[in-house]
Amino acid sequence: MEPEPSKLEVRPPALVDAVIRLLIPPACREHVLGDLWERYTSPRQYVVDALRTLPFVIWSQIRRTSDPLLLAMQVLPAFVFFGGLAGKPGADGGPAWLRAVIPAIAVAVVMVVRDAYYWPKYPSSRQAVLDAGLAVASAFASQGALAILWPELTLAPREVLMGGGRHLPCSVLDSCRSSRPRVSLAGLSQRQPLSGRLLS
Amino acid sequence: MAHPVSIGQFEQLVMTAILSLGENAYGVTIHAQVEKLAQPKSVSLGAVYATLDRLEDKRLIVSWLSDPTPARGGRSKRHYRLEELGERALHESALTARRICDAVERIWGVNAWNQNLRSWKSARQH
Repeated sequence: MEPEPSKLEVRPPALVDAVIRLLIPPACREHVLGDLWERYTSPRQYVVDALRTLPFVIWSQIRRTSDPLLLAMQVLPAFVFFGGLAGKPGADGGPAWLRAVIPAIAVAVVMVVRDAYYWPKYPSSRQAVLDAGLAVASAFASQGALAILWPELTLAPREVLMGGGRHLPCSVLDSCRSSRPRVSLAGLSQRQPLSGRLLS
Repeated sequence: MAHPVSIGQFEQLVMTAILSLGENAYGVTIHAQVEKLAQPKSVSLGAVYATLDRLEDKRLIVSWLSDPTPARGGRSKRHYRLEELGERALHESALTARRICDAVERIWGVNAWNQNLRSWKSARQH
């Protein structure tokens, strides 16, 4: 028996639904997607509704999963390894700390967002290593973006490679550090610490 | 006795919506109820989710997932209800709001509630 036409009309397009599903942090994916589906009237309304809702749910998840102390433990080594304490001015005389702070911020942003998307289990050791790689890649990517937008603030290629090489093992250790949830809440909303990587 | 947790105006709205909806309090219904309470302001669904998360972190409300329903594409609803701490905080806020209403009424009179403030103020000036 074929489904009634009215039942087909109220489904969001599968592709749009799949993209929005990916963008919603897993911890709140189930109910947020269900609510958006329930409010669905047209593909345009669905997309607008989702785009208006997404920043709030991502921000809320970041707030729940981030920990300033652990974040500092990831960002400070990046700052140091990329020459933030070198004291030597750059080729154009600019301060070294300013060049090092950009990859450190890139690492912070990527790690904070990455943590918001972990759910429901603690990441495995393989994921922890991948995260460390992601942290270093984000520092490299920040240099790539700077080279296009603001070349005078980029680090020398040698400094980038050395900084990345030093930061990687430190980041792996950071990522592998065992931790436990700080707050236990009912249902699925269990708070996870930033970079609390329990080795499985 | 410990002081109840202080809550903001939007949190009061969300908690009042949860209280008034009873067992039917989940994202969509809470948002609709908050929109009614916050008239004429419009409220985004995302702001309601963020507030629900914050209230849950403060242990003022508790949530649980229901069984998936076909009307929602086979997805569950996250239901909410007030915790005892939340009830106390809302009660305290409501008492404060009542005291404000009483004070306003003493000065402006009961007619202050019958029409919108701008037309009421211009009527008073004439």
